[in-house]
Amino acid sequence: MDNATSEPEANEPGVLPQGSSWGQGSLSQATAHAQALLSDVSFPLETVDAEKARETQRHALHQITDYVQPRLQNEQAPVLVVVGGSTGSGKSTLINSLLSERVTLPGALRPTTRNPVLVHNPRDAQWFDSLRILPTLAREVGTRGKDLTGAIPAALSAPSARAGDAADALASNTLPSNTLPTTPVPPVSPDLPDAPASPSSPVANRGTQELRVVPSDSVPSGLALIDSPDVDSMVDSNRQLAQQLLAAADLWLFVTTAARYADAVPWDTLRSAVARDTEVAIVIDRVDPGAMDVVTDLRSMLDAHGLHESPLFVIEEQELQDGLIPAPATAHIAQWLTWLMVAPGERDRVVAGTRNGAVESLARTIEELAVHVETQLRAQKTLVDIADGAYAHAYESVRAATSDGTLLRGEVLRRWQDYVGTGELMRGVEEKIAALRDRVSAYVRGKSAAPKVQQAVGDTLYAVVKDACDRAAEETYRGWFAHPAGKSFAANTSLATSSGNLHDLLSQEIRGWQAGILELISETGAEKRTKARALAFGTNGLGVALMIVAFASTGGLTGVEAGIAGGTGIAAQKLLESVFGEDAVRKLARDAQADLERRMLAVIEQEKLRYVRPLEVLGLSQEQGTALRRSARQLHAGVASLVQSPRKASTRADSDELPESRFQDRDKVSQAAKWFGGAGDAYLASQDSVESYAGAILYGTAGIGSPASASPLSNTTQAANGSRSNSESAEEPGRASRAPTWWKKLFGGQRQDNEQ
Amino acid sequence: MSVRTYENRETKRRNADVKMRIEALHEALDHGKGWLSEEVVSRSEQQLAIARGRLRQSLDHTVVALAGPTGAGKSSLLNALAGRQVSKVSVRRPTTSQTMAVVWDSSVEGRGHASKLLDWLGVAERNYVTEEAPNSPNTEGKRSVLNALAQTRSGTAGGDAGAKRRDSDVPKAVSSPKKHKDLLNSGLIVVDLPDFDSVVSQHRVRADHLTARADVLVWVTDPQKYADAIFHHEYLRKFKSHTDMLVVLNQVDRLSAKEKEQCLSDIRRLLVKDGISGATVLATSTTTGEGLSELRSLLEIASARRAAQGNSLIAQLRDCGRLIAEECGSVPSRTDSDQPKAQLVESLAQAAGVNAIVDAVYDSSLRRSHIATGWPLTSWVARLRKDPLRNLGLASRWLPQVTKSRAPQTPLSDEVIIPTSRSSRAGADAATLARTSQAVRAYVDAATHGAPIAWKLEVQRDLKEIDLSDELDSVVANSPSIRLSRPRWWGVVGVLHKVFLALLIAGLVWLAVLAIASYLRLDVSNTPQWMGFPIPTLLTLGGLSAGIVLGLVSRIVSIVYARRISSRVYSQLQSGVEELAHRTVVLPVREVREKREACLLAALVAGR
Repeated sequence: MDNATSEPEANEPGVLPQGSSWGQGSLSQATAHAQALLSDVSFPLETVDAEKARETQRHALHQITDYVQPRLQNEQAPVLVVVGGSTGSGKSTLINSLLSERVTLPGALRPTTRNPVLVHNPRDAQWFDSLRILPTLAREVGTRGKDLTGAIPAALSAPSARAGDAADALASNTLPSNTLPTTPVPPVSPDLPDAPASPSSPVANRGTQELRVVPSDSVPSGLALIDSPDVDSMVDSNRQLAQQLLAAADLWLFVTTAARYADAVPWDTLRSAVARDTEVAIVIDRVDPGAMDVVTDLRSMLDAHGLHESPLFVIEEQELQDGLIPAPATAHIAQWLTWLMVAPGERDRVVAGTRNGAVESLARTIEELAVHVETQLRAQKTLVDIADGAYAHAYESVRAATSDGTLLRGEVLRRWQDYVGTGELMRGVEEKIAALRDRVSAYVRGKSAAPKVQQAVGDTLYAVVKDACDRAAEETYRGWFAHPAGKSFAANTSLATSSGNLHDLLSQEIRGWQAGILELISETGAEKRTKARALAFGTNGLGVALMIVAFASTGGLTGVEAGIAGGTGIAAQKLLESVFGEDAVRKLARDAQADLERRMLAVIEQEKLRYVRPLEVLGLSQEQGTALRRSARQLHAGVASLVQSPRKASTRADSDELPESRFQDRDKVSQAAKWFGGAGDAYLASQDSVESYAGAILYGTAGIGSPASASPLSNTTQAANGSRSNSESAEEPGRASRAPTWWKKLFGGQRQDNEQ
Repeated sequence: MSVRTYENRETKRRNADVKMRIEALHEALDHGKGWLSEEVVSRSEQQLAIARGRLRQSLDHTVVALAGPTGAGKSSLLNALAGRQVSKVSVRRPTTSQTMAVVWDSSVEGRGHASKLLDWLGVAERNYVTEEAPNSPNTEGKRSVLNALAQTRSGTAGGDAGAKRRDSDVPKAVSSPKKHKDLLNSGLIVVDLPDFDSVVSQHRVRADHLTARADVLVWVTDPQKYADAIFHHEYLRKFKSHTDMLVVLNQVDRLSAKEKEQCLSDIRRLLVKDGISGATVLATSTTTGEGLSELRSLLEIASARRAAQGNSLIAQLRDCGRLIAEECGSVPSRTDSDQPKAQLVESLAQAAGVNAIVDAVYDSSLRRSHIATGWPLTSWVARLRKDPLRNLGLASRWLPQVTKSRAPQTPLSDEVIIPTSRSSRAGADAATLARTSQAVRAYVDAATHGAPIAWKLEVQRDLKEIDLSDELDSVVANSPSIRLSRPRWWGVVGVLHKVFLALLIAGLVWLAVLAIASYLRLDVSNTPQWMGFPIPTLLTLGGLSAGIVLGLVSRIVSIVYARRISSRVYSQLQSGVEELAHRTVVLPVREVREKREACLLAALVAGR
């Protein structure tokens, strides 16, 4: 890849080419490279951290396809605000209330939101009618509040059947008209390895997880809201989807409640947001009036977790009106979002901040995965080592048994003695007669003793190798069973013993060896003058003698063994030497033994392969780890260069194009009348300047409240905020003095607007 | 009174049941420690300790734990039950970090016991409900009593819209003395646990500690949190075998009547999904007092029965027992088949070369018998062949000739044998070693078929150390059966052979004398005749043919004899091998299998 060629530069940020070559384009390339690497990596071994590694990998891939790539390629794409949080915290209600429109389905039963809903301005439709973002989710377009009401009873009455219903509906009617299999291929069409989705058939494999895309005029253009499932849902797939959506967000609107704000699970999620520098705004819902301690407590918790800059919006517990929170209570959120969209540089700051944070965290994740890859490699090595050790031991024991003469005791010895008679064949005349007699009697009985020796040698050899293999298999299995990564392999109980075809393989090799020896004898016998003598003993007889010599030739036999096995060996050797001569016998024995070792090694290696091959085909390699680390360095360098250059670009844009404008985009401002049911517009109209919107805690008004009753609340907050950091308290006076004006303007005139 | 007696008997029976389960679980652990998975062992041991600890404490007190997520209203509920503020209630999360107990027991002695029990639980803060409680229940029956109680000070229990908030001017009430006394002496202890889902992780540790030890678990949740993953996955499911559980949906005042019904049925659905069948679901509100009377009377009943103590212990011990039983695998079939054992003996015998020895004994006996009873003129040839038993190094077991007339049981041959001598036949040769371990492996495989893998590996490891080949060798080499005796008929035949030989020689000599005499032209015409044949000729031919016939006959008899001898040797060696196999392999395997069975049985008893 061309990334590989630019890799040395990535290592040295100092010599990076300026601006153009290290802009978003090359970062996008680096990300694509990282994506390719990540999809190749697998964590097949069940090490203790494997599950986590797979999760991390899946997450990283989702983050790339759902967020990083689309964002890098289209900086101007709408800001994606994901409304996430605990189950029952009122996310759907909040969205509906913000938009004054029922776009999603809230409910008392948990978990409520099963399929996420994306709401966007109709002007932004071009950004969402493709699979540009969240390509793993099927799309369902255009279902509005009205259509939804029909679905409510079904959803409430049969929650469990809903998934199936949805799938059916999808298959029958919805699919051809509303989903998007025929939309233009999105700019990025990466194949996810773990989610079997491909751009050509986006719906086919998605199961029932889908994203409903709803256009609404109430949403500011350049902004999209997603109603996400609960982060602590009982349903695993919902939980995962929530994490996936949050990872795809430019901005989190994190909703919690007075009863839940100290729950551990949402805080884990928030911590991950802090870790990747995602912009977060917190909404605390269902705050009982008079329970304002909660808010200050939450504020201090947020500060303690490094979320100093995140605004905290408070919504009091109140009666819903027609299923919606009364508009004044959510107006501050609407205002803030509006302000984000129109204030110069604000939107870009949020987008760039989250993007840079995401790429940074992606780089860190990739580094983490590199560590996991190494863990996998270590586990693989451990498992292979266990098998290697066991089978090396097996081979060693076979080799020892076949060379030190221990094999010659027992049956082989007995058969050999039967064959040669007394075992002191060469010692005197008497023995010669005995040998003669044996052979005469063998002739008379019509059977030769030589094949019996051969048979005994074969059987013994078989038993020894089989036992060694069984032992090694058992040892390997035991070792693997005790190892977490090996335990999943150990579920295959056939690995506890040697393989079923060991018998065939081993018998074949032994026969092959014996046949080879007989061939060797007849060759050597034929080319020598010794042919006559060789014939006198017969090929079989010389063959078994050679087998025996091969078994005993390198053995350092001592004591009693030498007396027995050695005697046997010496007898055989003398017999052979008398036929072939000393040198030839030495060579023959060497050849026979080498052949035996080769064949036994082949058998044992074959047995070992049963364990080693499944590990080898896993495709784990050191390369992957190195490549991942390299890719992570590239990403780090890319972000580092981005952090410097776009800042210049954006200040230039501000100063050149809109030098004295209050708002970034005139066009947008003219639209704002419709935004959030008018809340945003009212805000804009009230503002002389949108330089800052720095508020640490922001209150809406209770449904019952008038501005007068609300101000004591904000006063207590001011007091609570007084002890906070300097930079923020510096802004307090301005806000405090301004507050009555916009409270009045906003909430005084607001309700009439809505009613008209 | 009779009810009381019955209850006492019930309690005794239940405690006996708990004790029995403790014993059984202990036994199961004893038997299975080597191979049961670590987590099961540690969990069971912990549970044993808890059960023993609880049994040592007062069983007249019932510990009710209010457990639940943060903000569900555990403390408010406790305050409502106690009738006064005992636990701090706050809107801040998490609230309760110190556990707090409320004890209903009026007797001094009872309080002492309760105090010890709370020490054991690790609950430091105690509140005793006394008769002079400031907010005693009124006389209007239990329901209104509790309503009133519920309203007490619940205004501060965070979680109500201001409109619904009530003032704390609770009507002063006087209890119906009897009811009140009942509850006062009921021995009920309600413990308010810290939450298990907040950011403060120590709370979770405390909560886990107490949920494991409480007698009755009351899960307090609220409409926001009742479906939390952590609540169901990590708590409710862990206690699914408990029978006395209560699931309380608190703060129902936040829901409309319809929503409440939906929520309750949804909770029941989730509980079924969790596998919990024995839990009572209750909707309460400390604000409106809804459901508190039911809760209170349920707790009262639970404490009056004094059943929860045993039941919760039983449930937990049962869980452990079931876990162990699961790891023990299925009940092994009692058809203790002899097939694997027969195969083991057969294979071991083969590895030890029993067949070779038997062959050698046969050959040796035949040779010996041939020498002793064959026709003397040809049987000497047999001496040239080496004794097959000597080839095996077993020749010393051949009885010396001098003992020919002795009985086979003669001790002389034993003196010849060096008991530890190793036959030259085997030694620790590789083949024997391999075949022996193959045989043992095959046996263990067959005997442990279908058993859990962890246990199998344990058995294999136990048997790995046994080196059978040495013992096998000494069994075969020292077998007294290989001693061959000289049967009497050999002597008889030998004598006959000598007689026939003598006749033959006499005839030949006679004929020779006659031949010489006729050569010397001496008159030998009147050679004695018998039935027209000259006697020397008869002697010669008779001696010759009788010798040959006798030789042939005794050859046949020898074969039969050798067969008998060798089959005797075979069966004796075989039984020696069998005895060895039994002692070194079959018994140990049976022992470990019995251990597993004992473990399984004990676990089944504990998990019944």
